[in-house]
Amino acid sequence: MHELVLKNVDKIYPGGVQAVYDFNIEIEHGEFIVLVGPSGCGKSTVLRMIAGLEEISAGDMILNGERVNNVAPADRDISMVFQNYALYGHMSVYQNMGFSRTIRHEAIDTLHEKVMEAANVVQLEPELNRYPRNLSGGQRQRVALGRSIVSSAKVILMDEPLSNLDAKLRVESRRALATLHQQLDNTFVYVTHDQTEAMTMATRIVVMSGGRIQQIGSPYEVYHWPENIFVGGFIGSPAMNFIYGQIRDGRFVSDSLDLEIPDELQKLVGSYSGKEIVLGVRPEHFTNSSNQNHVPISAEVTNIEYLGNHALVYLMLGSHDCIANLRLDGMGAEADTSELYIDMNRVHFFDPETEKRIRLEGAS
Amino acid sequence: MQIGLSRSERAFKIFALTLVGGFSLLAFFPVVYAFSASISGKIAYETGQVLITPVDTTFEVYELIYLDKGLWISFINTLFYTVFGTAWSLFMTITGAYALGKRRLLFRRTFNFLVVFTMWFSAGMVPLFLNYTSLGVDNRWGIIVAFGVQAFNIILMRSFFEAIPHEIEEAARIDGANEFQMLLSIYMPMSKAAVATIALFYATSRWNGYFWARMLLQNSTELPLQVYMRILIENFRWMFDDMPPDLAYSPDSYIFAVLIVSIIPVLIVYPYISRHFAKGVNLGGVKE
Amino acid sequence: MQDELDREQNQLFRVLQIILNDYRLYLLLLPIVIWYGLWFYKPLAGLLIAFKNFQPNLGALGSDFVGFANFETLINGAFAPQFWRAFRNTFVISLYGFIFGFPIPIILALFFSEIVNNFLRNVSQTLSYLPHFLSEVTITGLVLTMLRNSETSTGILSSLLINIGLIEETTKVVQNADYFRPMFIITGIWKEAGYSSIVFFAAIMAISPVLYEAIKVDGGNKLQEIRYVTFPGMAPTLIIMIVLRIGRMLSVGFERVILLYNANTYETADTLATFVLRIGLEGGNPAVGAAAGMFDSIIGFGLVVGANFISRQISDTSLW
Repeated sequence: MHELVLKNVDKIYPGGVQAVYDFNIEIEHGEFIVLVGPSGCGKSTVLRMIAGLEEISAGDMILNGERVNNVAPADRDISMVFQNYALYGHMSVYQNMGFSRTIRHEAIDTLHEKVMEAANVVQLEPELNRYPRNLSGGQRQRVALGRSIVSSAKVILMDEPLSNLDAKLRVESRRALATLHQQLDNTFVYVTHDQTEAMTMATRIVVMSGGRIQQIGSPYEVYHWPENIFVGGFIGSPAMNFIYGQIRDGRFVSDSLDLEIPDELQKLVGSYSGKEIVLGVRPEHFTNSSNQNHVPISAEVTNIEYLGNHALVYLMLGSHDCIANLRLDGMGAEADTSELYIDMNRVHFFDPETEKRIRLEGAS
Repeated sequence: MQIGLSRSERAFKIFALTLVGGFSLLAFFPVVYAFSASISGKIAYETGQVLITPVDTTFEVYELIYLDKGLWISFINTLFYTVFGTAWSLFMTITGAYALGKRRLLFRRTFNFLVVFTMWFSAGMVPLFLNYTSLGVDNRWGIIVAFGVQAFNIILMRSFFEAIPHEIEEAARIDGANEFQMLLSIYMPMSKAAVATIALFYATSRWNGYFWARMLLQNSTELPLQVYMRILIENFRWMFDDMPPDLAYSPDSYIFAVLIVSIIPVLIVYPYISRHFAKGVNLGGVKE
Repeated sequence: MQDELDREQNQLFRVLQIILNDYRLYLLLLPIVIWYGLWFYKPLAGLLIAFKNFQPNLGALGSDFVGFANFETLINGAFAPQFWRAFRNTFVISLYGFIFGFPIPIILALFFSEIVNNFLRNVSQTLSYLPHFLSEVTITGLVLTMLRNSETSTGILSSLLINIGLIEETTKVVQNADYFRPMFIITGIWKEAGYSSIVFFAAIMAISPVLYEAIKVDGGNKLQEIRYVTFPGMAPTLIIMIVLRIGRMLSVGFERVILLYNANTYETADTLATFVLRIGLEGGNPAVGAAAGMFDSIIGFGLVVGANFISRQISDTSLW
């Protein structure tokens, strides 16, 4: 049985604005689901509907087999970590963590036991008597997390919990969260606009845009098999390059490009012969070494950014701005851009009308 | 810090200090004078020898005050009005401000307008009086219940509550707090300073309340200190001007002594008040 | 028709449902709704008696309707001389109060902000606020006693005034209509100026120190600092306070008037509120009193709305 199911969920605000369209997902116990998308894509709204902070306009939410659309937040088996942590300023760390149990008048022993357990997990034992205003950003974030753990809710919701931390701490916290997820017996549903967070922590990523799900899949899937142009462009940094062109005689032809398409891909583009098509190339699938699948291109290099072990090369491919990510071998090497190729085995084709990735019937 | 000050600037600062210092001392002077006059001898006072410090000190007047049963009854009455009145006003203000601050409240704008409107319009003294008498506001509890809620304080409290991030409310809701628990264990403790400020506003206005108590209270044993004091001042003048009795102190000293008795409790809590109210006043205007 | 009824019923049902689901919130709202209903909005209905020949034994509803007769008696009938006198006094006292009373807190705030020594500043501010927290009875009690001038004793203030030649030796300031307004206004300044300065002080403190440094670097002197930095910085506060002041033009500290005036000083001291009190409650003409009170309230409300409108036109600042 799925732990959390959202079926055909819509969110329409009283003013008539629709924030979420037909949202469907089935979540297993113990998953780490990350909802990712640009701001305003409806991801936070979905999270808030799961929490019960927003009404579900249409559709069903089923938690542990029960429909909970009209159940109060406190009575759902969830807890939440907010972006600004929402700590109670007048309570100590201990009281903050224990509040969900104090408010239900639970016995002091269980409360104490649960709080100490959680404090151990989030490593806050020395800070239990301090107040939120005296804590660092990272500590506050851990208090918020600890609060969720104490509540013993099966599903922990997180709304951009790392976005108020500085860059270095964010990287550390990312790893800590992933570890924590393995350690705990909880389902995480996590919202972020940062695709790196999604890629590094999620067991499954839900990419959203314009209130609609674009793709649900593992980090591997959404990266390597993007469902559509949006996902391809959103996941991965720098973004995937999109080149608009046509298929002519089994070749991809754009204003200054004429690329041979390997045999394996011919079946894919067959039906597009003579039609418009979009070629998607990840920056790292440009290369400067020749190989039988590497198709040479003539491009004008406009700028190069050296980033230690790799370089970002800004290219003009005809009228298309592209970014290539070239590996640098050896210390102090300069990027050799005299010859550039595209690894045609790794590219994707998209339909310019539907924006969907072109795939063979029955294949992924 | 002082290095950058020019000569003219320093002169200006000294001038400013003298001026406001003078004003402040002058503002406080009557209180000092009243105390000194209350314990000065009759001749010394009437010949104008008392300026700041007492002359021919005698505490006889306070002995008389000690024996004035009416004064102490009214003093205790005022304590009663202040304690229960403040509690009542606070209860009304906090519950109301909490509800009025909630976005989801139906007809929220209308309710808020109806509260603000009371700051700018009034039925007038006559309909108010008739209303009070027709609803039986002529005793202790009437005075406590029918007075003391001020729209300004509700708005002040509301803006404090509204400044609490809504995520805090959502977090508490997820943690399982209901509306009452939310108010008691989240909102009120988080606005302790505001609650204290407003409590002090209410307490001073209850302590100082005069007009309606005088108009409405029927039983002389329920009169608050302010009313008792005023009646004393009104009658004393006539009494002594016509027929000055032979006492060790001037009749004025008695009045000053009574006034001092009414001021002392204010002076006792004043350090606490002054720490809080400046904050409250500022926040009323500055909070967006 | 039936449809419409159904829809209305549905609407009502939905509203009830929302309230029931959230009943605790509405329970919290209930106390002030009842309170304001009972003590503020119910008396508004009592204004009806302004249009009636009110007989207490018949009640507001039972008394005869007389149209604007009560207003007639005020405006050009038996009560007209007293009414217009009260009306004039109210405005004159307000105006004087504004001219003399309004700038002082601003000046105080300016000077308070100049005191660098925190301790001295706190002490002088705290002392200047104190009279605000004393009751009107206490304040007027002190004033009346210090101004006493009788055969048996002369109050300290009366002696002072006699010594510097402002009054005759026999003048009883309290009983003399000529002295009521100065007495009233100075008492008001003593009681409220320090406290009123808080708002302006806060406004001055909120001005960024960088602006002062900038004008200093540009070679500005103290007066130019005040003219070009301080005043523009506190302008919104100033406007709001002026609006409030104009809006409250008709409500001159009414308790203080009752406590300071007497039959000898009605000529300059009687204001609308005290007139209402004497005619309506003490003089046994509740209907006329209610009419005068209504007149007072409506003009007062008009002033608030008007002042607010003007302030919104000339600046972005307004009360609502």
